[in-house]
Amino acid sequence: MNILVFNCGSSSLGYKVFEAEKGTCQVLVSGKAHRVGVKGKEPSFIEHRYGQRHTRQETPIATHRQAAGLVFDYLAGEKVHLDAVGHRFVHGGHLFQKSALVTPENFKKLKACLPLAPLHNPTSLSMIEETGRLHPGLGQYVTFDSAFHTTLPEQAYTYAVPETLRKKFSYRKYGFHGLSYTYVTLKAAEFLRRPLKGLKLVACHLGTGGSSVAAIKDGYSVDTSMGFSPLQGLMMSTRCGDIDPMLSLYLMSVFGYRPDALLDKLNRESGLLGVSGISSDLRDIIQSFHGPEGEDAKLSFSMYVQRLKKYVGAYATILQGMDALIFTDDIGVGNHLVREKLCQEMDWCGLFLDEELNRQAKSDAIYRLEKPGSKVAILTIPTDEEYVICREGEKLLSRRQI
Amino acid sequence: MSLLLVPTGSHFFWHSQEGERSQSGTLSWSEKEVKELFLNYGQNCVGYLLRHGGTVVSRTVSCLNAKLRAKLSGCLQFQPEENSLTLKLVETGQRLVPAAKHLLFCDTAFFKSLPPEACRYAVPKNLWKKGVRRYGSHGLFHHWVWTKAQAGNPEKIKRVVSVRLGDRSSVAAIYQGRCLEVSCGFTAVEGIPSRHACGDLDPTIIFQLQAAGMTFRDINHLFTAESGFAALAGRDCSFGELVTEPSLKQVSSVIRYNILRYIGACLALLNGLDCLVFTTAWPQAGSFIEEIVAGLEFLGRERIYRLAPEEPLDGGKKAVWFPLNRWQVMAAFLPQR
Repeated sequence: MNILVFNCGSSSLGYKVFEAEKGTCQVLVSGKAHRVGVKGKEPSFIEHRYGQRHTRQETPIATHRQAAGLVFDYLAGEKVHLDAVGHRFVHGGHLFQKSALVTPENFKKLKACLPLAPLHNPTSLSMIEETGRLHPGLGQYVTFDSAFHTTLPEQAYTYAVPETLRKKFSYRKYGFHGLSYTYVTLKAAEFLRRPLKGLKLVACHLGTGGSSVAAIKDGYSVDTSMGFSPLQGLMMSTRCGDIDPMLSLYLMSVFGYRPDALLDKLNRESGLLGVSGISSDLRDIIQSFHGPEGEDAKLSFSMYVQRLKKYVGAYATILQGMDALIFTDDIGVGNHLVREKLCQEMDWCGLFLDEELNRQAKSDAIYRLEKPGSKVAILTIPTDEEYVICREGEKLLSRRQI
Repeated sequence: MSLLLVPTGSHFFWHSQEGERSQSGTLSWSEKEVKELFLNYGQNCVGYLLRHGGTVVSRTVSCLNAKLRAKLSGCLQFQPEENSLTLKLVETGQRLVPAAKHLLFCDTAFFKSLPPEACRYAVPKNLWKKGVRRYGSHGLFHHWVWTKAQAGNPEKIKRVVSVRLGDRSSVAAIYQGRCLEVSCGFTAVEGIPSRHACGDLDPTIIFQLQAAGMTFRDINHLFTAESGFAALAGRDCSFGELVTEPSLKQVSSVIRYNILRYIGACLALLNGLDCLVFTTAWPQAGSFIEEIVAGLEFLGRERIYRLAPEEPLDGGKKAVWFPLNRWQVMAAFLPQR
């Protein structure tokens, strides 16, 4: 069975065609459309990898829909047969607790989820519409980044606001990056040769956009740092993460900030960018340590690490110790300095990082970074969300055929 | 004879002391009763608790001179309800008993020394200049805990996690007298849900409520007066009820969980701890505390802790020490207020 998986970024569209058979998923074709909807000097382009062949095409790509059209054109030209298309939805709210086939009824429910993630969900929905328009006969399904965290216990997901509001707006901690957490949980268990049962993991998904931490026990999420929306939790590239709920109220009522402008500030001008004033990219910030803006760069870096450290401590505590600390996504596997600072002075929970191994780790495979004698394994695992989307689809579709 | 005034919500608590004799009570604002209070008990010395010193007050105790008094209105924007009550009491006291000594106790001053990593929010830096920072709360309390915890053994006790339990709970990490982290933030609303306030919340929610038609005043009231234990239990209940009522078990486990999470964060910042201190005015909180401690057993606690002989603290208050193999737990049960 050939499954095409779409993975939308804010200005990119990644795709992979998998050959899925009884639990195994092999990549057949992969590619990515870059600079989708970006106006700038550099042109948009799309690239494809099919076996040994690599093609690159510069062309204006104004929307994700258009990018999807280019992908379908390429696959048709190469005569790649497709059985189904899988999509990633960031926020399924309380309407979706697991992956689902796109039926007319589910499509309506997906539409109802749009306001939950106004930056991400509409793009994903447009991909579903476009796929349906171009290939009406093709089966489609959706997977959800929030689904992994539906196992959170009540004490972890409850906000202490009146029940009427919790019901009316479906307020609770949903959490995100679920596909990535699913992947690293399985990989960690496999790598450590441990059954999921009894395994206590703290996983840090540190991306160039959003970042979060999850506490995972027996393979299930028991707590995570993002909340109702992806704005809560860690300090991120441009998102503020945790702030006092009264802070926004203060800024709006005392200083007259307009709500939409302030929310935009918290989403797009805060985090690493807001504190450093240099860049939203941690690598730029680290490079500025010894420059004229060194103070700001160092402060934003140490804030980033300190907030992460608080969550790791909190989750190690609620799990009553951890078996492994996992780092994934671009910053997680790519930035040794974050790992080094985070793991300093953590002997209280039996965690000892081998600094040399840490520096040498690359981002292409799983690396194990703890010192001998460390009670906690430290792993970097490059994530593969598309793989999880494919596997979910294979499970859904084979069930349907039976 | 001295008088202490502590605003709590729209009421204030008063305590008078003359030698061994003390009296206390709770009042809401009433010109006549307040006047009697000052004239009866406040002739020598009056202490006022300022809940939130904002950017204005940075010392734990200050003499209320004209210069400080003139600046005080600058604190109003931070915790308007309680700070305005303090200001009103200060103004009335200085008018009615001008000859007395007037002292201002500031509950946020202890957190002036928070490292920048802890006191800064990850919002654009130009907002920091508008007074945006973590101010903390219950500073007098946490400072006192630190002093008591390390008094017996200053060499060995350097890392203290102080947990204040009650209608308003907070957790602080203290290293050699310097506070490194505290659960309360810009206001006391952030952190652990309290009797009426919501605690940590997704920052997006406030904007959604505003877009749904709620005014700032509505939202302020919602987060500070209708949330917390009250929202979880569906009725107003005190911390004392929370830890004893079987029907409130789920609510109490939410609160306990939140506290445990903050203790864990403090452990990571201090790289472990030498002494964990619980302070509460609720003697019935014993089993609540024991459950928290049980959740920390992975740190290497001996299975059964022996109760040490009660050691007297200030003013005959008793603390119960639990000596453990690697670290210590101390629970101080204080008389109500």
